[in-house]
Amino acid sequence: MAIAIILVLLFLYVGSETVQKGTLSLLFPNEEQLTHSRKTILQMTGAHLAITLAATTLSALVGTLLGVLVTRRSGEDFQQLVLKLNAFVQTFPPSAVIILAFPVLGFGWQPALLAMFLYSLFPVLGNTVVGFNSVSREVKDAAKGMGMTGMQLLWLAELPQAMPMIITGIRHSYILNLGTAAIAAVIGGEGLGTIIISGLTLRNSALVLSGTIVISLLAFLGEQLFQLSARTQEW
Amino acid sequence: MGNHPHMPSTSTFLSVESVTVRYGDTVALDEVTLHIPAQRVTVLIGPSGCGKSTTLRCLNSLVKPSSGQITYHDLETRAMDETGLRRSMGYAIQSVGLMPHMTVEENVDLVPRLLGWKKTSRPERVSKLLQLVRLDPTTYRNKYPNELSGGEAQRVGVARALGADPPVLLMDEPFGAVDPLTREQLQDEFIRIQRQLKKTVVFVTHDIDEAIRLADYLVIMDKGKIAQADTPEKILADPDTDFVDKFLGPDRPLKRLTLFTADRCMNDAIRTEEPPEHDCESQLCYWHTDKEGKPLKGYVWIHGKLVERHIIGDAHTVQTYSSLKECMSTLLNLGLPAVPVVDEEGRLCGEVRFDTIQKISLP
Repeated sequence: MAIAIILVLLFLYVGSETVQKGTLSLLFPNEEQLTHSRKTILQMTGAHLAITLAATTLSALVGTLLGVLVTRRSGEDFQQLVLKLNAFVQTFPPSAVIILAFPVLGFGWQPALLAMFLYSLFPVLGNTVVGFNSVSREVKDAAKGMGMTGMQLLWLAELPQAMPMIITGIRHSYILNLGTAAIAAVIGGEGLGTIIISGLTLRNSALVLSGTIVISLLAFLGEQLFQLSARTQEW
Repeated sequence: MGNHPHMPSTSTFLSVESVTVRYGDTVALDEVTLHIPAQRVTVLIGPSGCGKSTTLRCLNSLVKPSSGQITYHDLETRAMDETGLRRSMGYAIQSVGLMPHMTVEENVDLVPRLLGWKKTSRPERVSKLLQLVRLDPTTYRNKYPNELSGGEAQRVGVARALGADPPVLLMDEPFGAVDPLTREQLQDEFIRIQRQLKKTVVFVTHDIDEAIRLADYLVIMDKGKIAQADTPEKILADPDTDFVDKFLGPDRPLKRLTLFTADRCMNDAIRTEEPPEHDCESQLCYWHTDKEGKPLKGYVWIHGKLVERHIIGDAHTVQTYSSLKECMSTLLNLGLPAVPVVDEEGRLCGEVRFDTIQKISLP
């Protein structure tokens, strides 16, 4: 239900310039420029969502895989290193990540994507490790004692039990990317950051709000979808 | 030490030959040799750290011996495929280790699933196993482990261990995590199931009463070695070492009583309608029963006085399958020199006398 409402609001706002102007003129009656001069909200939303989803998917895949590797007996030695690195990276604000990435990676959407991926990898990785470590020794012992192979232990016993934690990690990574993508406009990301930064430089709060509205709706939508998938995971 | 008689008149297809397990400098098992009798219950017992669990875990290769060998059906387990070996042995542990994300049905069905059994017959097998451990399949099959009580979870654990009908069952304190009452029920159920299925069971416990109750072959371990291995009757009658004697405790004669059931030692009961005539010699009990044959009163002449006791149901009678320990307790409760034995319908079918119990408790 909540998902439907958010979707309708999102489509209405992103799809129609009249709705955008109507909403913003209510709040900023004196502002003349209510839309971006070169790009539509639809274009920017598309780019924003694309880079966010791309970075989140990459983080989810790589993070889960690395998390599985460092919780196997052969990779256990790296686990502490990974967890410490995770804690360290989490102390960086997203803007610092983007700004630090610029001199190294250059300008454009590719460096933005790479920076976002590296930054959002750690929530997934950290949560995957915590999820796998939370599977009780007894359950693993029983599973082995019943004759599960290493692969079966992973697929049938450990992964399903670690899943809620992993999903929480991916959700965190998605929300993080949604925000970081806005800042990525500074180094050439093409998302909703474009209109927000225009608004900031032109001292036009309506433009800033316009971008923020969409990002907020995308964040709510993501939360709802993740909650839904977490609910189907419950036991 | 070193002399561990095999169980008489039983075959064996699972044996441990001078197995040593070392973890760094500590020796968990020291040259242990053990022949596990087929289709019987072997109970491993001893203080914590004595190596009982390690011995069990060696059997299905969860622990690899540093030296020595384990033979299973004439094959060395070291050379066998681990997963295949484990799937042919049911495994139940103290904390049960049910998969929390799977229903009762999926848990019980796990080993058949791993073995790739045909899907069509498996739900029926699950129902049969749940009935065997006295859980109603319709109520329980779709429950998750967190919806079960401790006792129910243990039952599911046993059902899961029996899942693929393995010839061998390995049980590591399977009833360790439940209250004493539930524990006794589970032991009763276990005895019933074992009589029906006749599995080769290796059972680890630290509870000596449980061990004596369940064991056909009792193995007492200490510091990684076998202190004594024999039938419980023999061990209770004749402990080999001071350690075994101490481990069995000062109430050894009382423990021996748990090995015998009432029907094995009962005498005929004397029935009477009226209080009996003066009889100062025999100290025999006379039982007054109702029309159906249920005992109502007991009489006995002691020191020239007639003692009369009203018999109140279960508190003052024992069943044919009750242990002599229970008989002794009921006897003290009733305050007569014998206790009435009743059948399933509550009808008097004999008596167990104090002198009989006394004779049996002393080997």
